[in-house]
Amino acid sequence: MISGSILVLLLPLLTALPAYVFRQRRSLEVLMGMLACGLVVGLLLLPYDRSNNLLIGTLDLGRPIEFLGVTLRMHAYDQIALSMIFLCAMILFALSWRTSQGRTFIPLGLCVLSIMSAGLMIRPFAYSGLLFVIAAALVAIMIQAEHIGERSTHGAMRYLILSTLALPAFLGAGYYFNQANASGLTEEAAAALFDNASIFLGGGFVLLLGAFPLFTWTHLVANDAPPLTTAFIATVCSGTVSFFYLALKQELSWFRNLDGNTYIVAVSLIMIVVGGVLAWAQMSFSRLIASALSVDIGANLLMLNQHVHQSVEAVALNVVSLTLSLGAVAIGLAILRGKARDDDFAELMGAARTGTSARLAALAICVGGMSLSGLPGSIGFVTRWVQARTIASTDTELAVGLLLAFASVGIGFLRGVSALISEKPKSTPQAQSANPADVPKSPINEVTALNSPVPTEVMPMTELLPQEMPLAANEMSALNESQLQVEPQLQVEPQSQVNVSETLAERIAPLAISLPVLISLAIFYFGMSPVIFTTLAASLSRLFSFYR
Amino acid sequence: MNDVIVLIEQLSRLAITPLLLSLVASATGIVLVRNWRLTLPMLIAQYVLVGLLMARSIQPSLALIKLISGALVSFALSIAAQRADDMRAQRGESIAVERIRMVAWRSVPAQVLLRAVALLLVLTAAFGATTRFPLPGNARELHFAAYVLIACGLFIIATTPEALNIGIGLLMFISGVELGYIAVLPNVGVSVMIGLISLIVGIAIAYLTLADSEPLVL
Repeated sequence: MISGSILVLLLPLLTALPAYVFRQRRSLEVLMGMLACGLVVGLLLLPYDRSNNLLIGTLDLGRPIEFLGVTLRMHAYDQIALSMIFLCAMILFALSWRTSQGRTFIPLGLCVLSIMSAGLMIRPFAYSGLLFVIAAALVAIMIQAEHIGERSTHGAMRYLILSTLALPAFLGAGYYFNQANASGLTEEAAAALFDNASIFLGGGFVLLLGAFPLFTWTHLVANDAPPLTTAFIATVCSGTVSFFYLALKQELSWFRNLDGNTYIVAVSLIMIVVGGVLAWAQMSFSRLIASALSVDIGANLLMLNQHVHQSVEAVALNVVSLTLSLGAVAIGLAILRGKARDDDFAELMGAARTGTSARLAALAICVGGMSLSGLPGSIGFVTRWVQARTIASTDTELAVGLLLAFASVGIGFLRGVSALISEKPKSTPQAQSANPADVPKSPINEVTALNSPVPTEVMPMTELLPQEMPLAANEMSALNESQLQVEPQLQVEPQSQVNVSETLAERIAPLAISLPVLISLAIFYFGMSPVIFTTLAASLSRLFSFYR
Repeated sequence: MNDVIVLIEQLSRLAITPLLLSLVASATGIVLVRNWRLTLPMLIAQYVLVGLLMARSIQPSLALIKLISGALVSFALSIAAQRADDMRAQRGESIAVERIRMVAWRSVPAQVLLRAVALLLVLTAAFGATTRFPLPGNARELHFAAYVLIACGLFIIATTPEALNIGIGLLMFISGVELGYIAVLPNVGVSVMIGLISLIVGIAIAYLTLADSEPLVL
């Protein structure tokens, strides 16, 4: 009899080695990553409550394995959570086919998947914290990828440090849990110990999810890591931690029956407010993604602390929708980062006009960004709607605040996309001469500069001249003549007509990019969105009936 | 191997005060000095001391895991640091050996004095935490050692920008957590897992150290 948990751990781990060997051949590497994830998803689709005959033997998904006082067992709710996590990882691996995310992305990604899965299934839960730290160390290498240089390791280091800081929290929670379960304790004493355990656990989760302190790893990782690696961390790693939280709520009655960890709720509110306030004003895509992640982490933490089944659906939906949304943004950003030095809006201005791949990248960013902000008609809307509805049942103001924060993310992405599709301002001699450092020092240079088509409101040339170098009368007259000749050159009507006709084709690009948004809006207003939402919610509601 | 275990057992029975003082001295040295040629040997010595302290609570064979993992981590870090120094030397930048041979005595007070004052506060805080927030259990001396390592580790993480030094602080923090947990609840599984964590975190830090040594590439 083969245990299901062992296969879930070993399949990705064993595939990681050949994936690393073939890392130079990306197609093969991606195929291996997808194959491993696909096989695990296939295994997880088998019935949980009976033995399954496979070629290699009989498989029992729920069979526990014990060693060194540790039990590794897949529960029914772990089965669903793991299948979603591996499915998301498979999508991200597939997206990395055409955009390099570093040679270690798939091999280490598979190892991280295996370790995070072990963290989800292992008990006592203190070991989960230990396994998450091991996974974080590997994730730090993934974040760094082949990115080298001083100050380039900050994102990786920050992620590693924060995950390591969660270690004593999980060990402390485990200790108090053991003490509370010891015999001979009064109910009050046990309750006090459980309270301590819940505080430690809450702290550990908040650190692992990157919620506290503010600006933990989100901004640095989004800036330093390859885009799909950021998506991997936000979906696969944080998703596993979220599912682990739900599993503990399922297993531990004291953890479930708490009146909500008030400090976790407070942290999540701060995350939502800060992310929402900052998102719309960001000037680069990496910082915008980080702000969107802040809002998302806050909303996710709020969902984890609700005691209704819709919140479980929201957490599960969020993992899938975040994978698709962030994956789309990441793939677009990876393409654009290959074309520009940075992902600042100013740097990428007009990037969507530079070719088909850039247009597709802008389209991906637009669709993914709108989905992240929960635009009706997108997959993200389903999640955001469930989140807002769940919160609105207890706190309407908070639900409105959450929607505003999502809208802020949407505005940020709209600004970014409008920068991508707008025409890049050409550098003119006027701009150069506006810089005092570029002002020519000698009269001859000034003559050269003034022959260029500058506007009439330019500073009078006598003011530009150094006082200690007076011009000769003939030079001055020559300068004045050249200045007078400037004005007719500014009226270049025929040239502007040519430009309009040349850029007519380019103006289709914004239309093509805004088309999905318009279609989404149309679908919403014609009533398709509620249908999509209801179908998805109903199917997931059935899947997650285990958690109720 | 048995002889080594017996030796660890005998050493762990030594008086606690010299062990604690040596641990504080090693932590102080690592905090004050930021040269890997000095700090990595100190880190190895610290792992030996932590192993001996742990052997007072758990089986000496398990404490040996700590020693081995510590030695391996330090070895990996030293290889990475040497490679990073080689690359810096090629670029004409100052490297660890040169900074030892030709100490810039004028800049030493400015660098070390602030760290020394801050370290004094950190050690006082660690001592205060031992008395004010004692960990469960009777091994008070191990609690003090754990608090010292955790506090100094966090101090290094907070005050240094280089990947290697941050990594050393992180490893000190992990050692402190392990020592504190073993003093409270001796557990074979946790010891083995934390040894594994030290190894993998050490590998990650070595990788980041190499990346950190290159000039900034935009």
